[in-house]
Amino acid sequence: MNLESIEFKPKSNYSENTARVSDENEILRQGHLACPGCGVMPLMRLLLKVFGHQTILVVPACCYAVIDGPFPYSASGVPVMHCAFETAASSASGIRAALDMRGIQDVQVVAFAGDGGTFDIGLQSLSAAAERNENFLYICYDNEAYMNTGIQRSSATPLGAWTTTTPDETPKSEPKKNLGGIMAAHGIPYFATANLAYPDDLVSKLEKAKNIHGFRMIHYFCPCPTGWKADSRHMVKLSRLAVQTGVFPLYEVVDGKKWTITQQPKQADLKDYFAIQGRFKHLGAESTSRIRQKVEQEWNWLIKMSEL
Amino acid sequence: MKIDSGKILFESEDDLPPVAMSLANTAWNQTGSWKYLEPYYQDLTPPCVAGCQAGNDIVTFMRLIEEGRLEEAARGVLQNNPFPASLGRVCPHPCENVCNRKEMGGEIAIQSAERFLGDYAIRQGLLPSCAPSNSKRVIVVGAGPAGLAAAYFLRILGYDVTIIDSEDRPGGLLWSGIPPYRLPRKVLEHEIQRFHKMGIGFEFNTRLGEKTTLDELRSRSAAVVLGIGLGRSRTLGVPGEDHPQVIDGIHLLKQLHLGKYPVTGGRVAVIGGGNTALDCARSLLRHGHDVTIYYRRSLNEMPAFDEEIKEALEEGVKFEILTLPTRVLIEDGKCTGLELIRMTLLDKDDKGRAIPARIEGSEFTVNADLVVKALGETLANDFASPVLSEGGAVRTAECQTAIPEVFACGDCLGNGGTVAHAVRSGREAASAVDAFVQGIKFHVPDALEQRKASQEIAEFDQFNRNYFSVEYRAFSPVIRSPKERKADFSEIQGSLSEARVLQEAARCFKCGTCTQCDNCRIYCPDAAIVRQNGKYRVLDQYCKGCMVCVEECPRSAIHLRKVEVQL
Amino acid sequence: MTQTATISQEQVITGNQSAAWGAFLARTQVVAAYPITPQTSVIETLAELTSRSPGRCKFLNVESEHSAMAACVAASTAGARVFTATSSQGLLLMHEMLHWAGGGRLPVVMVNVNRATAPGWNIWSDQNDSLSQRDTGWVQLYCESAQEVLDTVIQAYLLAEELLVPTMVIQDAFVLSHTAESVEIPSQELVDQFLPEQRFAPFSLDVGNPSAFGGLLGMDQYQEVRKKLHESLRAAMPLSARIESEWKSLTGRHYGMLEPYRCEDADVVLMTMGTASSTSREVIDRLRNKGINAGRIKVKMFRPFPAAELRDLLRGKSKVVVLDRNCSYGSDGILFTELKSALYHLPEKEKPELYGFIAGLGGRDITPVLIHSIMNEALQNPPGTESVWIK
Repeated sequence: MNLESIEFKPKSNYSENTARVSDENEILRQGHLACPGCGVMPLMRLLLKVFGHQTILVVPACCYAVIDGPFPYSASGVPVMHCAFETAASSASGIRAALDMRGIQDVQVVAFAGDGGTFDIGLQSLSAAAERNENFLYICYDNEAYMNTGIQRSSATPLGAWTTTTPDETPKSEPKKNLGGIMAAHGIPYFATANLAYPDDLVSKLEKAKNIHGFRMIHYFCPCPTGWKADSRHMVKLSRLAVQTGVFPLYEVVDGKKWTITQQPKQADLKDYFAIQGRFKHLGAESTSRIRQKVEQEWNWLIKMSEL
Repeated sequence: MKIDSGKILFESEDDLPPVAMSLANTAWNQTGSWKYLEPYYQDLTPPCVAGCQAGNDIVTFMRLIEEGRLEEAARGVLQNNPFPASLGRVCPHPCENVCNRKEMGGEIAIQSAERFLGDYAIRQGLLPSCAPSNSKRVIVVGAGPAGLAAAYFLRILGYDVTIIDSEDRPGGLLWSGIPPYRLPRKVLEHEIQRFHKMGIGFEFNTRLGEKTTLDELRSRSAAVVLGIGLGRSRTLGVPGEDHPQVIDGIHLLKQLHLGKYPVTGGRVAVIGGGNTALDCARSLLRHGHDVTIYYRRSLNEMPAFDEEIKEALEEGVKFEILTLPTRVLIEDGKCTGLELIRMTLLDKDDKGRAIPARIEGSEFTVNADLVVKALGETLANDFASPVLSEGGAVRTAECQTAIPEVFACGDCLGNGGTVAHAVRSGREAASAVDAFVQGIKFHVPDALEQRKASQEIAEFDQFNRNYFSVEYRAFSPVIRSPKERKADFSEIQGSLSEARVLQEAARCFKCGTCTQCDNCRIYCPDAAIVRQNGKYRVLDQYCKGCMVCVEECPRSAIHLRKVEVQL
Repeated sequence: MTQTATISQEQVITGNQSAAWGAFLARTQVVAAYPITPQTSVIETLAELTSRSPGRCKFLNVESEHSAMAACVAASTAGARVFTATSSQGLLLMHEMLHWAGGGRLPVVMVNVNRATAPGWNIWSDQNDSLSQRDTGWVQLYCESAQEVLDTVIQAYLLAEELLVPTMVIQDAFVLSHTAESVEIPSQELVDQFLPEQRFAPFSLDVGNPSAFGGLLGMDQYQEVRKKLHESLRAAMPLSARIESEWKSLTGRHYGMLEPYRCEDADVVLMTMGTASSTSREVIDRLRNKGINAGRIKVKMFRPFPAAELRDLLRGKSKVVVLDRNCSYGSDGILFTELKSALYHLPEKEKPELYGFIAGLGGRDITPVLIHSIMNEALQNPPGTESVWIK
């Protein structure tokens, strides 16, 4: 009996569906310019596997606009429209209109923007497209600052974090903008938060989003070792701790009304989450406890919403 | 416009498109040059395998069981192990003691799984696959576990094998030493049957040095393997030791198992702390005796298996530790007891064992009708020969004695003591014979060799625990209470059901072994991990060395090394 | 009014309504627009026209002009024919996206209603809004009548789609946008004959042949790629001649990118853009009646700037009088400045004297009296080096 020739079935940690989806042919090509340990790339890989070749990406100014590669190359493997910073949602609306007028119904439009282009400069066009219930998927990959331009503060930067424009002496003093609340108020068909450390949840949300007509949005927690002053090897650990500490809850909102929490946090302490990120190393016990309070407050609000 | 290995070269302005647009993909960009540490897949040795004396590839068997491939698992066990059903009962399972699962719910019941597969093999009449006969004969002297193991592995390699033994039946200490309440005779018989079915021949009642000689054996074989055990019991060295009621433990056990029950008196004193002492004590207990074990160190230092000691205590065997006999008490020609002196423990010797020392003037006496000595053995006198032996053991280099065609294995080498060790030793001797006969270099056979695992042991603190949850061990039911068990010699411990064994196999972490859990492949930001021919592979030319794969591997099957700089 | 006919029909409609008709007849597929005075009736008319022809056009009521142009740019990249309209603040807000349309080589057609820029809110006509977009890589065509607006919008599609350059059709606020005149609305058949189906830009989003558009373009190639935009724009003049000739054969109407009026033997030539071109015709006639050899050139195509053509037309003239309804603050009137640099290359002997006048900012009426006074001023006085600001 030759032990070397024994074959075993792969024993995936994930659901059959996730394992199968992740096994699909890679559409994204290697050789892209993401930092080592960039949290956006596993998302893009899975997105393209779920959505397939019949996809058009709309990418405003953000890290991915650079990651995709310089002229004359592109790593994405599907058509990409690079658009101006604040126009992800308006550009996606235009493309959808054009495709509809040309009778092309089987191609999905996916806007793929960072937190800066979504929470701040792009919020106006995002709100308008949502209000018009434009038929596309908007994914915000949130690395919690303007990373592409060198780690400046955005309204998605969490409370207490260091950025180049909120240095240690004056770290971010406002909590992260509540994007879920904003999008729910627009009554869009589907909003969900998602996280790399929970691939089954992420894939099922991508699949749900693919099959809904109208404005869908996924808010993805995107670990950025470079900008958070963390070790690249902690890409998944950061994501996991964000959920386990309650900092980044995983939930869905359907039609702006039905809130469902899709992952209960475990008892992980904020200290463990902060300890592996240089952007939080200046925080003392008092600040940490204030942040902990805020996290709890927001969780309680979310629980109330889910009980409505 | 030219394209060269995926890179585009514009030869003139006219080549340029009028807008910024992509004309090719980024695959030419070998981002692998960014890294200084690179990941590589390498199965490690799980601690259970490192600890297994018998050389079972435990993780592979667990994976087969988990997939319900019981026959393959049993066949796989048999290829490496002649007595899984026996070892599954008698082995002290060092594998379980180092099992990483003990951190999260309790070690895997590996021995029970081995036992289950052994019983399965018996039920299904499975045999290992043997190479066709190469018409070369090897004679094995001694049908104890080591000799049997050597014969087994030689037969697998294609040799014609005959085992000779001085007894009238095979098994050695497996039948004459280990009591039936640990190893039922039927189980042993079935395992021995396998040898017959494999075509291994036996010649019983043939003692080396009497009915035959080494030269005679050498004349009718390509090689001879000595699995003769030790055979000479150590003595107390105290007055009265030669009294007939002071008997040797190994001899006692054989008599008991042959059905010749020689013991007459009531109270028994057993001297010694090894398994033989415990076997004697518990066997005599079952015959209704009042038994006390006297041992010169403490319970912690007793070499007997922990379970033996625990069960003996439950059954009512008494222990008097830190005592040493100084004199056998004889009155009117009858043995009435012992005089003993109390001991204390000094600092450890260079082998890490505490040195016992007498407490002067602390002598005391106890009553006993029978004294049993179980102090260990050395090589039998009738085999001692300056050419072959030294210091009470057979002298070998890579299993080969001073006489080139003569090899040795097992307890007679002086450092054994367990069936598992005998199996390992027998396998090595078989390999050594094979290398000798073929004229090639010998190397120690390794259970994981075919899987190309590295020698490094998979440590739990390198695992990523987030992918495991605490799951509790299914315990082997000890089917009989102490009161029940000491009434007879029926087997004490039961088997695990197939469902429980499957559960255990699922609970096994598969330490250091890539099970294609998909973490690395899904998480890699650079799509630099692909599945090829059923294995994962790192695309070095793209991997940027972010180390996420290594961090997220639940079971330490992927590691980092410095990138070799090509100058 | 809302039915397209198989034959042309004559209607009394405003400049804005004409613009809407032009876009509609050109079969625009996507309209993304945001209201601003005095553009609103363009998109209102267009909304009405398209709503009565379901499936003909997708109307996106976006939330700002920036988004309007972004959506147009994107829809064009996805291969649709697009249209929008704006004015003043709206155009300024679009500025970033105008650059995107130009650099992206997208055949977007837009109507801009010239309106003064704030602060001080002012809804009346001046040209600063469109002229301050002159560097963005768009063709700019200034119209003087509602008929011209309609005709030019249709022609603009042909021009834009051939050159892959966005095109802006411009009309004065209120005096043109809201002034009704008799307009011949061509039949759909005629327009279909003139303007083929969307000449699908070869560079567009196609899942069958995926490309990424608009990504990082480095210093080694950016200049050469942008040079192609410049060269394409320069080709607009000769191409427009062909286009206009074809339009003339179908409708009998022709405008010319430069329309000279009584220039051949003129000593003093007035230059205007927009509705002032109409008003000035009357003044030229009056001056001629007084024995003054006056002429006027209407500049329709401001971008690309017809430097060579203007040199040819003005070579040897004694005086050229530029009327700018705009000012590049800190520099001078824009038409004045650009003309001056074009005339620089004429030999000294043939260079006319150049007079500049800035008037009509914020929508103050440019009357025949005003035009007369600037002509007199030029006739009587030597030229200065800068424009004169007059009421």
